[in-house]
Amino acid sequence: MRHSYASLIWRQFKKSRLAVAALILVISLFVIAIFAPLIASDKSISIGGFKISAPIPFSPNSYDLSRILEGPSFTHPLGTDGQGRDVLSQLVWGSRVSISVGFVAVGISVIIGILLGVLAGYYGGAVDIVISRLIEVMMCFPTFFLILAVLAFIGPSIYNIMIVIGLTSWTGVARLVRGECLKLRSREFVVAARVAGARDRRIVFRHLLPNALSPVLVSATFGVASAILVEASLSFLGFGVPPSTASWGSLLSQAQDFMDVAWWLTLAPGFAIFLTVTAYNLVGEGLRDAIDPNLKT
Amino acid sequence: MALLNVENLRTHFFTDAGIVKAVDGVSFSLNKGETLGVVGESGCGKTMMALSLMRLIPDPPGKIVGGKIWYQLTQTGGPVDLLMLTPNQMRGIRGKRLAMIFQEPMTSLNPVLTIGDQIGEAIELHTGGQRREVRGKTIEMLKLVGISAPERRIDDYPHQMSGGMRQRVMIAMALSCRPDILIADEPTTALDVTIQAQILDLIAELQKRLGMSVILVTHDFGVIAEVTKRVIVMYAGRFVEEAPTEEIFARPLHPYTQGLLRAIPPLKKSAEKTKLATIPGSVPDLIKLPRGCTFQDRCPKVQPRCRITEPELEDKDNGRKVRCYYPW
Repeated sequence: MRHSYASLIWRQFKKSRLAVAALILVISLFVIAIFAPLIASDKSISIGGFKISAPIPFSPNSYDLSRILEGPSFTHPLGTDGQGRDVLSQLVWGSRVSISVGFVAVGISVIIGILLGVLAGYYGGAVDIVISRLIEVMMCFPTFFLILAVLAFIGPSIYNIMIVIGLTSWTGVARLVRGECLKLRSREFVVAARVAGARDRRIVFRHLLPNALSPVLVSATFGVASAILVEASLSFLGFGVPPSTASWGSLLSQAQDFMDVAWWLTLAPGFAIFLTVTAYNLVGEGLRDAIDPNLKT
Repeated sequence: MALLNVENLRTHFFTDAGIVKAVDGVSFSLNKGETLGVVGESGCGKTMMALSLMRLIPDPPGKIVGGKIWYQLTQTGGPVDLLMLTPNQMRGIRGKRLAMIFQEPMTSLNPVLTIGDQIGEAIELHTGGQRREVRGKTIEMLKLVGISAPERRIDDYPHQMSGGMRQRVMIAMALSCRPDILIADEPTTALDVTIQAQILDLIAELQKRLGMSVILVTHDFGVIAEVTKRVIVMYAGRFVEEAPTEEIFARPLHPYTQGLLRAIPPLKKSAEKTKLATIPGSVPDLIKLPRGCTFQDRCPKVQPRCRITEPELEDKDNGRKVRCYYPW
């Protein structure tokens, strides 16, 4: 039987029920986001002559002005908004924005962070000094206002949000990877690889990074949670996705107008954001604890 | 003809506190199939000398500042100075011609790769070949170093193996390309005594079978006695004595060697109560070496002359060499 490093972490991770529950939630959200067009749509799908309607038979933008601001009911489990759109359907479609922003932004920041972190940590010297100062300068900026300012210039769109969040949140990963590389590069197995005749690139990608990756994974999980939160805040302030695409933040923002008459409009997206961010944070914590208690090497 | 001929090798570390002369003017030669022992206390520069031969001194702060490492690369051609090779040429020699194993088998293996991946690495780097071919060679290597059920163990991770097994894996890694020279840096220090003997036997047996030369770096005279024919004693970055192994035990010439040999715990019952002999003091600060002999402050026989100029490494009978004005 192979007891790989990953399976050891998994065994440790499983011990925390909360983390496992959170992981299940995260995975189901992922599935919902991917299959949103099948889950919430007013078009029925025909399979072999049979017409099957989606579980939520409303598209996020199908207006029904005769059913404005209806409370939760059997047909609209989470009610309808000011234009008679189904809130649940909007939430399902909104999860696509949140999750894609979360993952792409974190992907960008992790790539930048790993690259700069490896350069600084592995090569050290002047390269390290320059990159470390760059990290410190970046960290001094109040990130959220920087993002707001940049978006005000280049205009809000889902891609711009992803890129801007990614470009401003790599400092944590970079510091982490730098630290790990500093620690690992003097380890004997790295010297052993060099003794075997391996070149720098091979040492970095085969020996350093896989060992540095677990803390990066933890930090990335927390990163997804915070990116989702940033996107929601931006959309709430109107700097986010254009109004035609539903996002949890923009739903919240629209709900403001009806706060006193339609509580479900505020509660539903608010709860969705809360649950998602909490779930990612719990998974991150579970991962951190699974990696931390020094796995027997 | 000597396989390796080191001339006046000097490796210095440039630190904020000053220049650390970790290896300072070391010369020796190594014949084909020979086992050479290098002994000395911790911090006397043994490991740095070994790493210098591989040209793997961490730079900065370290640098090989002088000397020659003549290496008989081909049967017919003349020797090549390793220090003159380009980094690329040197990389082709590391692992293929010159291999090395380390003290700590626990940390010398990468915890996230299987042992098969790690042994296969050198084979892949130097001979290339298909995955299956590399795997076959890896299994062969595991068999060679005496690991049972190699077909199964090849997919194990380092943490699934004991210290002795890991050291065997390290040896398999080092020998996978059949190097000419194996540098073993304290290969048995971290292992318990019964495993030590097994590993030493294994190295000796493989040496005979593969016809390679071994440079065995250790602080343990027991290990030296067991496997080497010739031994070099190192102190403060310099060689202080060189002699055939039996002679050094029978008649150590340098006061430092005498001290080291006296510090080996005796096996006699009556010795139970007697205190273990030590050499007073410790290795001098390599940044501020004293004028004259580096051993003067710890030497029981120190004379005024020793504090003025340093003795040369002088030739004695039977191919012995010693760096002392008043040997024996």
